[in-house]
Amino acid sequence: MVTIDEEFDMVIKLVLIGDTGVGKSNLLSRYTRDEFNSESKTTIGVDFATRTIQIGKKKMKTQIWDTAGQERYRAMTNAYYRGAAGALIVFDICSLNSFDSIGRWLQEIREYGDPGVPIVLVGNKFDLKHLRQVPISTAELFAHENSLKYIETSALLNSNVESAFQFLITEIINSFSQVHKDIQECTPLTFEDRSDLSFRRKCCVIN
Amino acid sequence: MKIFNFKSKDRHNSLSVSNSDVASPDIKTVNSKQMIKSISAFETSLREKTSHWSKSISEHYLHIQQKFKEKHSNKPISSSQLASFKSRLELGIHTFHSGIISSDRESIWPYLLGVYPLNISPSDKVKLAFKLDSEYTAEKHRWQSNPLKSKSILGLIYKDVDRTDRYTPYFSVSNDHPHFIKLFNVSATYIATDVPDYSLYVQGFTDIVSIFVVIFESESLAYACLKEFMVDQLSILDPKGDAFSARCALLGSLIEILDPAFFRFLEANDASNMLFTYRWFLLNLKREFTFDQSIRVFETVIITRLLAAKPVSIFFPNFIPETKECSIESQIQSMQFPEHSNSPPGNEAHLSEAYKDIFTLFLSYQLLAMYRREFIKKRLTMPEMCEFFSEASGTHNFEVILKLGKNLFSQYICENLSFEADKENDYVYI
Repeated sequence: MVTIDEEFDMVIKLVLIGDTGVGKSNLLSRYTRDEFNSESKTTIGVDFATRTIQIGKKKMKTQIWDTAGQERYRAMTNAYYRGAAGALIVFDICSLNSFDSIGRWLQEIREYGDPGVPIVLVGNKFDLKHLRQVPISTAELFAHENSLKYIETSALLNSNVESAFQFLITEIINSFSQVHKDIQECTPLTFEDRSDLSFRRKCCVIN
Repeated sequence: MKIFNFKSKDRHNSLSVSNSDVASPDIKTVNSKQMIKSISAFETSLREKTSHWSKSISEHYLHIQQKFKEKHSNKPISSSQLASFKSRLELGIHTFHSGIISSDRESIWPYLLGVYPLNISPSDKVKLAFKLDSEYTAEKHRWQSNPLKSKSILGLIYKDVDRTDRYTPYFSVSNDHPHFIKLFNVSATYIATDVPDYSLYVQGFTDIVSIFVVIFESESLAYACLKEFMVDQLSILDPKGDAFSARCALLGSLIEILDPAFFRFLEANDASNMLFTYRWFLLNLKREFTFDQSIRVFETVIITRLLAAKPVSIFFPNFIPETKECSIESQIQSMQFPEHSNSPPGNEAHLSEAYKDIFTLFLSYQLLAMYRREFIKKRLTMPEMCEFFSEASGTHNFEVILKLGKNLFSQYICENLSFEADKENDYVYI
């Protein structure tokens, strides 16, 4: 959902999903506050953070919903996906189990989310590459088969976190622009440069 | 019997709180007379959800009310005073009013939770502690020797323990440290032993367990006390969260009655389902306060479950209940009340749980009330309110919120009991 706000030109809702312990909350805190907390707590219920970005001349507020990775509190599932403009599905490259769950998360978002909602697949914790269990090629193939973009991040090193969110937002804007011509004037998209924009690894693959 | 005279008191004066921020907008919205009306109305709405209410139980609670109204010192209780309490109820009421000296919780909580009977002799206490220890050790070995069955749930517990209270000095340790292992063992033993087939586990549970692990040096006593704390609370472990939908809905009802303007604001912001307070109910607001403050909250929750004027049945159509009977009877027996004959509610086709955490509900209300003016003024959305509470964790004016929550509970318990006695007369508050 992209809504027009008095204070902002646009407000978009993004959701973070994926198994417990894959680093969703730290991706969120890195993106919104440039913080990484090694003592982070298990997310209970739902958490939120926002960040305002500038896209062309437009001021956009991204409101990001973070949730517990465990089987979701049912009453919250509907509220969680309702109006989400895009989703980041996160797994831990050191955990095959978390990668195996991606299908389940995709199914959930397709069941509860709006049809055709843009999704970016994120392989987090690439700073721990010596413990890698999910080969890049496997993740890329999965992403390709499911028409997702794939990117690997490290919330700890602050690598590609910005890019992951930007891919998603770009997709959202592009799909939104197709139906709302007034937004087109702000393309091509130029994001404010905040942290790791220039830092892109070879393993970062955009389908 | 006349209505307890708190209705004639000005609620602001009775708080004796000097902080001007506190006596503020939140409280001014409701004067004391309205508050009584509102509490009564709230009580009625709860009563509608209560299937039965036996006269004999009502009489027992009148006894609580009398005890409750007696004057109490504000000095925290020490273990040297234990012998002076005649019953668990009396200990509980004193604890409600004054709290317990923090270093003495380890010796007093087992009595408060009913793990040790108040009149136990020193030699029997040693025997009981030994028995608890052997039972715990046996249960622990059972899941440790059968890891296959429990592998996935143990993995989940481990992930949670790894992220539980690591900012506290007690848990700022490596994962092979005895403190970490103790938290894992007690959590896993509870889930393996007290939950049928590991069928229920909700993330956040280890946050509850850590309170007991920190207070008790003995692993087996921490487990025994946790087990008592969790009596009738199994539904909270169901990750599907039906128990919380009901709790959040109750908070919504309470706000609707006590503070209609705020409720309308929440409704307009798609927040009147109160889903953003899920964490509060699961953890008795532990993440909202500091660790030490939350121990005080847990202590008060233990007591208020004993004192709760009336168990309220909330229906969970999808929840499979634990096999043991509703503990209202056993609780009352353990408090050495006179005999009673009627069965507790809960035998209907619907499945029900006696909801006794009224205090958590009131504390949640007061925490929200503290900021309601600001929320309305800034027109915060539900996510923004949620974000606010995440960032404000541990910075709230705890003493005041606790006091207000306790005041509301006191009003509730006395008003509720008066209603039972007065229902033959013209009860005109509603």
